[in-house]
Amino acid sequence: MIKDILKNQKIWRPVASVCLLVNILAIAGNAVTQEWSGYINKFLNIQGTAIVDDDNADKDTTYFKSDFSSYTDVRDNARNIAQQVQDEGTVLMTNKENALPLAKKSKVTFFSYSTVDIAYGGTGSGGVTASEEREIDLPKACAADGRLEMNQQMYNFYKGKLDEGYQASNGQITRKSGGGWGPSATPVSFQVPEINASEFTNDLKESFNDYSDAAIFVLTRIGGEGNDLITTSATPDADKYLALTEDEKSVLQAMKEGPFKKRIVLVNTFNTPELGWLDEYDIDACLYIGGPGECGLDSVVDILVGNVNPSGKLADTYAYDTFSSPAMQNYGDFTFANADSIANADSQKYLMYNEGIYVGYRYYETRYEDSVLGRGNASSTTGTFASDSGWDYAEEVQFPFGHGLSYTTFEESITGFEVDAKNKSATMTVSVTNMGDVAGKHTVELYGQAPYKAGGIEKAAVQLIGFGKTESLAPDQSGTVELEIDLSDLASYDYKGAKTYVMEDGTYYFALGESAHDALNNILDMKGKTVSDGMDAEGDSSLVREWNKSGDEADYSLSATLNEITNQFETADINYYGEGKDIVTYLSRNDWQGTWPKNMAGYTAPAKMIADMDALYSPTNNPSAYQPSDKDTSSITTGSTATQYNIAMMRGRDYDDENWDVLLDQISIQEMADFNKQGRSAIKSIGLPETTAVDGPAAWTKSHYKEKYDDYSENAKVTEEAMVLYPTETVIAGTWNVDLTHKLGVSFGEEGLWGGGVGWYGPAANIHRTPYSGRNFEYYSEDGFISGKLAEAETKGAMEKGVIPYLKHFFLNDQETNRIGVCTFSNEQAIREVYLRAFQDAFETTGEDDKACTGVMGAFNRLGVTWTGHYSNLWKNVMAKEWGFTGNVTTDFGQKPQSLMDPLLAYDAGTTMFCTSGSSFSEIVAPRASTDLKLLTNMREATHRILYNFSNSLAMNGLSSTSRIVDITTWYEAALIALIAVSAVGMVGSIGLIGYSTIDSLRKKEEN
Amino acid sequence: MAFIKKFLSTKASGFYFALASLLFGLLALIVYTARGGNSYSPVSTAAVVILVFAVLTNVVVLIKDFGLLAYVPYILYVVTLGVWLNSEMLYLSNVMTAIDNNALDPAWICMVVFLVLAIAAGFAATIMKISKPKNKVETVVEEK
Repeated sequence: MIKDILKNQKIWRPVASVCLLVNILAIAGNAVTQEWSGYINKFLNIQGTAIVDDDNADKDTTYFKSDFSSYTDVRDNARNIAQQVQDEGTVLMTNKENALPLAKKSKVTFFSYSTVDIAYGGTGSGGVTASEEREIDLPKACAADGRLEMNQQMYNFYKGKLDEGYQASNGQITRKSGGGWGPSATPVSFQVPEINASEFTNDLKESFNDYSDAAIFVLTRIGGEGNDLITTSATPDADKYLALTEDEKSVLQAMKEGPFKKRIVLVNTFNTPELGWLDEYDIDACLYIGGPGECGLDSVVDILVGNVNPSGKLADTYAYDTFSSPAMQNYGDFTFANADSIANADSQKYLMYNEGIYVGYRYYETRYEDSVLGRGNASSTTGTFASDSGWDYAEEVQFPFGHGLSYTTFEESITGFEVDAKNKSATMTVSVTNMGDVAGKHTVELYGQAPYKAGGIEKAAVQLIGFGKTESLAPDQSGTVELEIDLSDLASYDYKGAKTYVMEDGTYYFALGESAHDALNNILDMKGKTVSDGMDAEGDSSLVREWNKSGDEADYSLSATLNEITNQFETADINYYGEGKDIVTYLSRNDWQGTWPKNMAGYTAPAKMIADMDALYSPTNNPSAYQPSDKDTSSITTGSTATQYNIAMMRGRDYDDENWDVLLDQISIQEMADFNKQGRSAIKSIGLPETTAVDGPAAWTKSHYKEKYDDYSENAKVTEEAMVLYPTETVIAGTWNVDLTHKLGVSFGEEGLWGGGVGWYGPAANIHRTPYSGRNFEYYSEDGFISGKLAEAETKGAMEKGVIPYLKHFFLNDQETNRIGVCTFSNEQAIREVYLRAFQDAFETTGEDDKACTGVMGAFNRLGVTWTGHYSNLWKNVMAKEWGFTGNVTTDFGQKPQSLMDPLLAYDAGTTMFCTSGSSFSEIVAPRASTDLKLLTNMREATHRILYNFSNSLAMNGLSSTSRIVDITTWYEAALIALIAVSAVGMVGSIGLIGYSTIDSLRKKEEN
Repeated sequence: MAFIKKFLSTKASGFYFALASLLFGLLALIVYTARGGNSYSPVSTAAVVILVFAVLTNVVVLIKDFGLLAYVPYILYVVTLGVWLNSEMLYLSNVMTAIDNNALDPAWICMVVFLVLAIAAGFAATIMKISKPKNKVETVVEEK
C-alpha cells in the first residue's frame, strides 16, 4: 500500500510542481523583502537591526534626548503646537461690523458638502489621513466646551449624501464616506461635489430658524502632488477650479435668503481661490483656515467664538481673477513644437518664467506704484483681468500680501532706525500698542524699496525684508519688536551687467505696513503722493524711514563664506539659446504694456538646445554624457579589515578629520552603493544601523510612535499610534512667527526621535508662483523671504533633536504639470531673488552659530535643459562655495538610469543620495565603480558626506565605540526561510519519488 | 497532416497545457517589449532574457518530451515573474501611494495576466504528462 503511494506519479508530480512554485516564489519573495526591508519594516512597525554593546552598561549613548518621558506626551505636545500654529496661522480676511467673534454657544448652521469632507491636508506623498479618534471634525470642534451649537439636521443631511455616494446635479459623484483627503486620494478632474440648494427640503429649511445666529459656509478646494489644479471647463458649472460652481452659488444664495444674522465663510484650501463674491452674498466675515491638520478645527472654532484672537497674515496675494498674474501667462503644459526632433521624451516639455522677478505681490504692488507715478504704461489695458478699463489695483487685488485682521487694533510707531552700511545691516525698533479692548498678538511687517532707474535693473516697488510678532498684548499694553535687517536682502542681482549682487546708489525706503500694499502707500505718502494721484488710500509717512546710499561701503558680490557670487545659471535662461538675440523679453516695469509675457506655446527648440539635450540625455548616447575615468581604482581602499573603526567614534569630528579616510577604507563598494540609496541599509563594517527617511512636510507620514525612544534593543516596541498631522505650510506661513515655526520644527524633531526616523523629507519651500500649483499646500508662500525665514526656523528646530531635514524640492519646481523633466527657464535675477531665496537662509551658513540645514532634496525638473541633480553649478558653486552647505543631497523619488536622473552624472555633479530602492541602482553603480576611479571617488565622497551628517544626527543614538550592529530575523523573514526549506524538502523528495517510480517501471518493463 | 496527427496522437493532455503556456509566455514577451519601461522602472534585461529562455525551452519540450525537463519553462516563467515584479517595485510604490495619480496601465496588467496564465498552464502541464505512455500510443496506432 505505502509502496504504491510512493510510486504513484499522479500524486508526486503535482506535489513537486506545487513545491517548486512555492520554493521559487519564496526565494523571490525573500530577495524582494531583503531589498525593500526598510519600507516593509517601517510599514510593519518592526526593526531589522539592533544595537548590541556588551561594554556599554554605564554609558549614556542617547546623544539627542527627548524632553518627554512618554510617547503620549510627545503626541500631546505635537497637537498643542499644531493648535498654536492654527491659532496664529488662521487669517481673518474680512470682518464687517465686527461680525466675529460669535457669542459663545451661538446656534449656527454649517453649509456645503465640505462640512463633512474637510480637506485636512493635501494629497500625494505629503498627504496624511489622521486617525479617526484624534481627528477633530466640525461636530467635535463645536461640541468641545459647548462652544457652538451646530445644526445637526443640516450636518446629517450632508453626511447622508456622503455616505450614499450622492450624485450631484452637475453629474459629479461625491466621494464615499471614510475616504478622506488622504495620501491616496486622487483629485482627478478636481470635482466640486456640492449639493444644490434646491435639494434642501422644507424641513431642513425650517431647521435654519433654530440655528440662525450664523450661517457658515466651508469653501474647500483640494490640491496635491502630481497634478496642478485645473483652469478650464473641466470643472462643471465653473470656468475654473478656483471659482465658485453653480451649485455653490445656489447654497450661498440660500444662505443669503435665509434667516441668518451673520454669514461667514471658511476658506479651506491651500491655494488662493477667487473670493470676489463675498459682497454679492452679503458675507460678513471670512477666515482663511488652510489645511488645518488633525486638530486645527479646534482652533478655528476658538477663533469663531473669540477664545483666540486671530493674528494670522496672508502669505499670498488674493487676486479677483486667478489668471491675472504675469506668471499665469506661462503656466501648465508646453511641448516644444519640434518635439519629434528631441530624442528623449521627457525633454520635450518646457516652462518659461517670463515674468522675471514679478511674482505675486512683487507684480501687483510694483504695477500699482507705477500707475500712481504714471510711468511704464502701468495703467494700460494690457494684463488687465478684472479692471473695467485700464489696469486698476483696487479692481485686480482683493486681499494684498500681508493682510490680516484682528479682533483688536494695534498702533505701530518707529522708535529707532539705524543703518550700518559697512556691515550690510540695519535695525528698526518698532513700538506696538494694543488700542482695542481684547488681548492679541500683532505682526510687524517691514518692506523695503530700492531705487529704480528706468531701463535699469528690475526692482520691485516693495519687498518684505523683515517681520516680527509681539507676544499677546493686553488692551493698552505696548510691546517692542526689534527688526534686524540684512541689507543684502535689498540688493539686486544684476545678471546682465555686473553679474553679481549690487546695491545701487539712491534712496532706499524702509516702510512698515499692515500689508505690502499698505507699506507701499506709506512710501508713496513719503514721496508726496495722495489719493488724488491715483492712490487707493492715503499713506502714513511716519511709518517710513529713508536711507540715501552713495558710494560702495560694502561689497555685495561676496557671499557669507566670502566667496564670489557670480552668474551660475546662464544656461537656464532661454535667451542663452538666442545666439546674441533675446528670445524672450522679461517683464519690465519700464514698459508693462510692451513686455507683458506672451504665452510661449508652440516654441521651437533651437538646434543648439537640442544638441545640449542630446549630449546629456539621448537614449542613443548611452550611458549618457558621463565619461568614465581611469580604470585603475587601486588608489582607493575599499572593504579594508585592517582597522575596526566605528561610526560612533566620528561623532563631533570635523568634516576634514583624517580619521574619516580610515573609516571609509573599511566600506566595500557594494556597501557604498546600497547605502547611497533610499531605505539605507546598515553598514556593519562601521557599526551603522539601518536608517529611514520619511515623507513630510505636514507629518511623519506612515510613522508610529515607539514605546520608548531610547530603547535600542531588539525588543524595542513600536505602538499603533500614528504621528500627528500638522496644519499645511500655508497655515504655518500665515503665522508669520519664526519662533513658533522653530517650536514646530522641534516638535518634528521630537517625533523623529520617537520613531519618525533620521531623515525627514520636509519641509518644502518652493514658491507659489501661481495659485494653481497642486503642491502649494506643501509650500509656504509666493514670497522667497518669508519662505526662507520659516524654512530655516523649521529645519533648525528639527535638527536640534538630531533629525536630518531634507528641505525640498530644490528648485524651480513650482508646478506639477510635466514636473518630471520639464525644461524650466528663468533669468538669474529671478532665480536668485525669488526662488533661491526661499532656500538660502536654511542652506547658507554664516558661521559656527548658524548651522546649515543638513539635507536637501533636489527636484525632478530641469534648470534649462539640465536636470537639477546634474546641474553642478548649483551644488558645487552655489550650495558648497557660496553658501558653505555640507549637508546630504538626495534626489527626489525614482531613478531612471542613463537618462533624466542618471546616477553617474548626478554623483559627478554633487548629488550624494538617491531616493530609490530595489536592486537596479546598486547593479548600475557597483560594478562600474570598481573600474572607474572618478565614480568610485564620487561615491566615496558621497558616502563621506552622508556619514558626516549621520554622525551628527540621531542616527548615533544608542551607538558607542564598542557597539555593533546585529541583524534581527523578522517574522516574515523567518516565515519565508521556513517556506523555502519546507518546499525544497518537498520538491527534492517528490522529484526523488518520481525518479524512483520511473526507474522502477523501467526495471519492471525489462523484467517483462 | 498525417505527421501532425501522428505527433498529436502521442501527446497527453499536458501537451496542450504546455502549448497554452507557450502562447501566454509569448504574449507576455510581446507585451513587455512593446510596452517598454517608464521613468520609474525601465525594461529589465534580466526579465526579458529569462522570459526568452522560458519560451525557447517551452518550444523544446513541446517538440520533444524530456520528461522532468518539462519543469524548466515552468520554473523560468515563475522566475520571470519574480524578477520582473522586483524591477517594477518603484513603479508599483508610485502607483500605490498615488503620486502623480498614476494607475497601472493596461499593458502592465496584461503582462501580469499573461505571465500568471503561463505559469498556471505550465503548472498543469507538469502535473499531467506531456506524452502518452508508449505502449498506449502503440495500441492506438495499431487500432487505427
